[in-house]
Amino acid sequence: MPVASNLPRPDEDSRAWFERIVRDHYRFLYATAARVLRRPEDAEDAVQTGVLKAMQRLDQLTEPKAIVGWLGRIVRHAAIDIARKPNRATTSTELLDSSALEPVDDKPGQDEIALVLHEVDQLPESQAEVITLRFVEGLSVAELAERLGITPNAARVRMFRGYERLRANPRLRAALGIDP
Amino acid sequence: MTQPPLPPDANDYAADLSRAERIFAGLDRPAGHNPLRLSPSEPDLLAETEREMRDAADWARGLERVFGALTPPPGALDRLQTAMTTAWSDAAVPDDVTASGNAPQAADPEPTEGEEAFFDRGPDEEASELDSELNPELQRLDQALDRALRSTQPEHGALDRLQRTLATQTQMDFEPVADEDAPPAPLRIADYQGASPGQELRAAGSDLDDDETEDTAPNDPGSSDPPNAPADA
Repeated sequence: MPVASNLPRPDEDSRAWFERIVRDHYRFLYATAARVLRRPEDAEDAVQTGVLKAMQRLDQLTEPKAIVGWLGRIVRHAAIDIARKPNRATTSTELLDSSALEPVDDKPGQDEIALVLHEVDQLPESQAEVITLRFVEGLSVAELAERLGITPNAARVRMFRGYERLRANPRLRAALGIDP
Repeated sequence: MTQPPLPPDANDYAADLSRAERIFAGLDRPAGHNPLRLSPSEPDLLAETEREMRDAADWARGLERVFGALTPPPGALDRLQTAMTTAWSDAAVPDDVTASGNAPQAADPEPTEGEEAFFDRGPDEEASELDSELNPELQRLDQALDRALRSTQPEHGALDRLQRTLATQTQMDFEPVADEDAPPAPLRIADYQGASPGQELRAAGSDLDDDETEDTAPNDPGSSDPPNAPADA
């Protein structure tokens, strides 16, 4: 039986395994931080802080198969910590009060990206992580379940509920250029 | 044999069926017509489903487009890799996370030399060690008991002989020693030969713990000695 991709392979020690997971899911971790922080360099800092913190607490990880979600939550907390600092970074919320949405064309503008990320971040964490992973890595439901260490049914329900909440948001609908 | 004549409306029925098939196939469907919709007042489920699917596809495309445009700063992953490499030496990272998905557990303490020697022995070794410790006389007694227990038709007088052997052997093995610190001399079965079964039972209970005998060995009325005291005490 093949080893699930988020579990250590027989020839991997903890370090090799951890680094592989971080590399494979870096874009997911970055998107998770970017849901909270607008500036790319702040999101990068949050990922680095969170990953290094996770590395030190690897012995506290009780379910190795759930490492991707575990890393995502630590990175998100690191991003929140950065946003709370006195000379804090720009959060994704701030732009919503100040910026007009850019017109939708083939390439989304920074404001549109920030708005979508912010709205996704308002979802319950379990739904936000499934949607982020789904759209950043383009995974199927079965792959999502495997990466997060949950059942396919749980992944499907979380994605559906998160999706329904997003679709009920008229501002997001307008930003994405979807007919009402 | 000729077919029975069709009922008068059969041709209409066939025509209706044919028309229904054409409608469902979309050939005769007028614009906006839904064959699943029984009346104009009912919700048009087919149209709703189509609209829903189109909307979901639009959302999926929109979200894919946004998340797809989200790119980390150039070199971010390399910088993170460098930071991890630097930090590994200070991090207390367990090396025993296994592919089985089990969380790392605390290591068992190393066995002492004695424990190692004990657990390294095979079952045969243990058995032979036990055998050599047994008194040969007791082994013979054990075999005799075994034979007697297995025999469905014991030889005449076998039980008497066994009892005599048992009494003799027990007396020989448990001869009291002249030692003041030694515990009281153990009971001898010979002392109880001729006693009533109840007395024998109480005597047999003398080896049990107090907790177990407390309720089952009442004092003998009219006697100052407990019933399980040695006869020669």
